[in-house]
Amino acid sequence: MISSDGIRGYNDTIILCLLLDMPSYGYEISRKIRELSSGKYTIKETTLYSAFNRLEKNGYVESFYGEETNGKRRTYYRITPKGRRYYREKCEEWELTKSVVDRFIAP
Amino acid sequence: METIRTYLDNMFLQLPDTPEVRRAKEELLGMMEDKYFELKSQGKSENEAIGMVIADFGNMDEIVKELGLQEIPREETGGPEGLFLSMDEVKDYVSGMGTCARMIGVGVTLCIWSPILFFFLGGLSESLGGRMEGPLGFVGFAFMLVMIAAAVGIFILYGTRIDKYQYLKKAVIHMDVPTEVMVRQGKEQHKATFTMQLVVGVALCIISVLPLLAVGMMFEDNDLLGCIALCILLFLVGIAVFLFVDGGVGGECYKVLLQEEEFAPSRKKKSHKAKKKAMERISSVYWGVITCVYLIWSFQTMMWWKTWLIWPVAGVLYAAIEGVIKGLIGYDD
Repeated sequence: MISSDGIRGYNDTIILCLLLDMPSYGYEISRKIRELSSGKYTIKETTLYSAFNRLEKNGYVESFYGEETNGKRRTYYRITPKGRRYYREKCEEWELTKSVVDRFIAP
Repeated sequence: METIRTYLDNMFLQLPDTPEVRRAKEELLGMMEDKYFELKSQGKSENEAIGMVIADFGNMDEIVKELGLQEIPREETGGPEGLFLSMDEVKDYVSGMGTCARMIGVGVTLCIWSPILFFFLGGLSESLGGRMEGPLGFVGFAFMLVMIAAAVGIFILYGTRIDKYQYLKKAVIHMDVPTEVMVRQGKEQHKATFTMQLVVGVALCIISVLPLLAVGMMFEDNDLLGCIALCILLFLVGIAVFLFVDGGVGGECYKVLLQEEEFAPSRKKKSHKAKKKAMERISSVYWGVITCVYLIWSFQTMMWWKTWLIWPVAGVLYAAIEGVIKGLIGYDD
């Protein structure tokens, strides 16, 4: 398990990454994060919703209602072109951050 | 699922009712629901699933900040009738109630055990041909009174301690997430223990009549053996009742903290409470009268092996009376 403090700056990046291929909704994203991190990171519901809210306000994602098979109305999120650009920027930023931090990490 | 909804309601209790806030709540509920149903479909129990969903809920401060609402200090999140409990307060309450439950159990057991020596010595004097009946009877009776006095002392002492916590039953309780998770885990553990206690207790009750039956069938005219069998019955029933009381009273605190069943906020309405109070009063009068009848009847006839029948009959009758009264005053739990 990793601390939510350490990863805080990259929650938005993680969510955008999961939206690159297709729109998705809250719980599915939360589940994918858990699966892709092999259970090492579980995003809290409040963190996830705050991120959606922030991303939408900044125009990186847009939300729409989708019908599910069982009739439950879910809010889906779709990445916007602006979101894709932002995602690329964040990826570059992470590479840089990683290379810098790595220099201070004793093997 | 209802618990999750209540939990979320409590979390949002102090936030203003704006479209933004409503949407946040709806979205969070949706995610929690999805997670809950998936956990259930994986075979998790109701309480496990709720516990895990709430553990992963996160921190309301994040939402508050994100929505640009000013942060509300913790002391005020309770609102007029709400009450915020810290982890220490909750621990204190749970352990306090545990002690009270145990001690009240001990008190009830002492009451049940109190006539044991009296019966035993009675049987003994009978088998001695009536000699020593006076002194032995006195010792037995004195022992009984001492036990009952001790029990009454315990009831008063721990009864007032429980009263100190009464206000929690009326309040709308809020806790932070780690505390709530701790309470849920405690509840799970308690449930497991209580089930064991019930199983053992019921088994003891069933076994307790065996010596009496055996003596009745094989040594019908041996008074001493009969009395010893009765003592064994009381002894075992005493242990069983301790297990019931300890588990039953000890478990209430979790219901109070999690606001479940009769302690759910929607049920804390005044009219309901008044009706419940009426039922409580009737019940205390009823059981007091039954106990008096039992003691008077038993001591007058000295047919203790018959008079105990009053208890199962009284129990069934109580259920019937309760049903009728509930029907009459429209009180429903």
